[in-house]
Amino acid sequence: VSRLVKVRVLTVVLGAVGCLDTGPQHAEVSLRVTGASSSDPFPTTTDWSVELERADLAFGPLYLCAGYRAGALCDTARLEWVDSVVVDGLDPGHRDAGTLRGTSGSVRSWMYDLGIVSLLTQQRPRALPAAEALGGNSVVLTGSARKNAQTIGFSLELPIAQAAQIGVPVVLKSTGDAFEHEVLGGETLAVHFDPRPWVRDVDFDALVEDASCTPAGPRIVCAGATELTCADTGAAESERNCMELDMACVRGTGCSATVRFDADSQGYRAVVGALVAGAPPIFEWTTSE
Amino acid sequence: MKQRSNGKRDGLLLGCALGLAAVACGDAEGSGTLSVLLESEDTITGGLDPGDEVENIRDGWEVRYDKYIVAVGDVEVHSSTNETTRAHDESVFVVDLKTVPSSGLRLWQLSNLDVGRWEFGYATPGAAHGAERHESVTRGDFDEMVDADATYMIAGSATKSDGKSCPPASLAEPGSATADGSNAAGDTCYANPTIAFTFLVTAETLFGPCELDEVPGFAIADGNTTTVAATIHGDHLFFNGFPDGSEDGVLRLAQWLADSDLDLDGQVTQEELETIAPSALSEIDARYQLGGSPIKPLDDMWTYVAAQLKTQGHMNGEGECRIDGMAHEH
Repeated sequence: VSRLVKVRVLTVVLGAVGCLDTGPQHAEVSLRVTGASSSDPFPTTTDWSVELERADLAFGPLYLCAGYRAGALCDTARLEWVDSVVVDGLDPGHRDAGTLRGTSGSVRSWMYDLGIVSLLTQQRPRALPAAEALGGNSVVLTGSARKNAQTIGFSLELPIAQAAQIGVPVVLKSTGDAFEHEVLGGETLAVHFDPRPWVRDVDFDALVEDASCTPAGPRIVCAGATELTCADTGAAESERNCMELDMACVRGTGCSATVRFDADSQGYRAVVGALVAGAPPIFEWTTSE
Repeated sequence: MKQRSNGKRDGLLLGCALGLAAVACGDAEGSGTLSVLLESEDTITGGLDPGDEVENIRDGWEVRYDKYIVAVGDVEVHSSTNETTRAHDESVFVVDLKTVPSSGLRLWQLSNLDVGRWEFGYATPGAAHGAERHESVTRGDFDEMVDADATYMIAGSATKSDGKSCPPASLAEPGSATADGSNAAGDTCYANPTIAFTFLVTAETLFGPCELDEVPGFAIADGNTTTVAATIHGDHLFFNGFPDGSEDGVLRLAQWLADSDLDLDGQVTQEELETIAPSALSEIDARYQLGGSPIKPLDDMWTYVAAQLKTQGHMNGEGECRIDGMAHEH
């Protein structure tokens, strides 16, 4: 009788254990963000030397997904941080952003917004506090670009919100990006942003010209660093050396201290492209001892 | 002796218990067959029309394909309940999707699959790795695909009666072409009503696991044959982003292709596309969402073309497949 009872118990226990999945456990991960020290000038793809003075990015929310592809296929994130933070892209120091909360298990992809979220329940994207702190923008950049003795100051304020797929964050891990981690809870995830690639493809060449006045041509042209004001006849009415004024001669504008990239400019599109489809930030996991 | 005898009996009973435990977890018996079709979206066979409907091209261009050749195969399935139970048909065919009948082309078969639910995946590899020429593809095109290890050979044209090309000013080589206004970004435009293209593209991709309406893979019933279609779409080149999941919110636009004809000869080439950064095209504006690109960084429009082609694999029409997300066994 005793053996029979044992076997019955054993059968029930094995049956239960055989089908039992203890499932993922609640997990929390500390989130940190950092910028990169960009005090040194760096080259663009058109050989301008750029120095950034400000590179602020609104980051968040961030979702980590179990599958290899984020986006709409990640209906339920493994871990999420639904807040936002302004990342000083020129500060390499860590900044605590908050806590990712979710469940333990593998994460293989990520997706995040740039301070402006698109929600299935709302018609229009909503700016989170980080974007609000940047005037409703996802990124604010200022700096200068130098080539052939001309220096162009520039600024850009840029909101980036989901336009094509409501409810999906704007930046998604590419399947080619390496990212895999077994979340146990208690780790720290640091996200390192480097703002230099954001402006690397800005075509500063398109802002300058070496032109002369022509009949029925533009009223203002640049002959290198010299601004020419043109008469209808094609003669130069006046000229001034922008460099002597600590300015650059900008195509279509003349002497300018700062170029502001507007929404239909190549510079604007280049920065958007770099932020959403360029080299991703570096994700670094550390485990507490 | 008594103890040994009792131990043996205990062992037998333990075996029975383990067996009962296994049965309790629900293993069904029997096997069936999977038959896999290759299916072309009608945008490949019939082209894309201009208009305001969801699947129309919204900026007035009409697109027709002359060839839409793809290297496709390497079908791999695994049990939904046991990833180590796998089956694989390594056959890769180079097929012109223009010729695939609406009922599909039966190309792969996997027999003796256990009854139950299975995950489904396949690949669009390069043609240089043992691909077999389908009768729909000429020997010349096949050899060209193999030599280039290409995944796709796509030839076609975009037409619009009042179509213009407005190439980026910094890249344009208009020669003697006559200017015809400018676009919103100030780039000079030129009449160009027909834009032809032949793209030989390497865009090796693993598709899978696939699901349709959130139901993954397929089911095998004892003694039956289940049919699944590997569906290749033909309109992603003209998407305004890289959607995953529903494509309902996507716009189809073709002006970017016209603006990529830098020398205004009526043809867009790989060389031209490699010259153009997406940011150089004023058409790639706020309407576009490039964040889901399977290739990063998107340095030029040739990379953009390859990235879009890497998203075209589906299952059973509109079923979604993960991209490069499932390890393949070879």
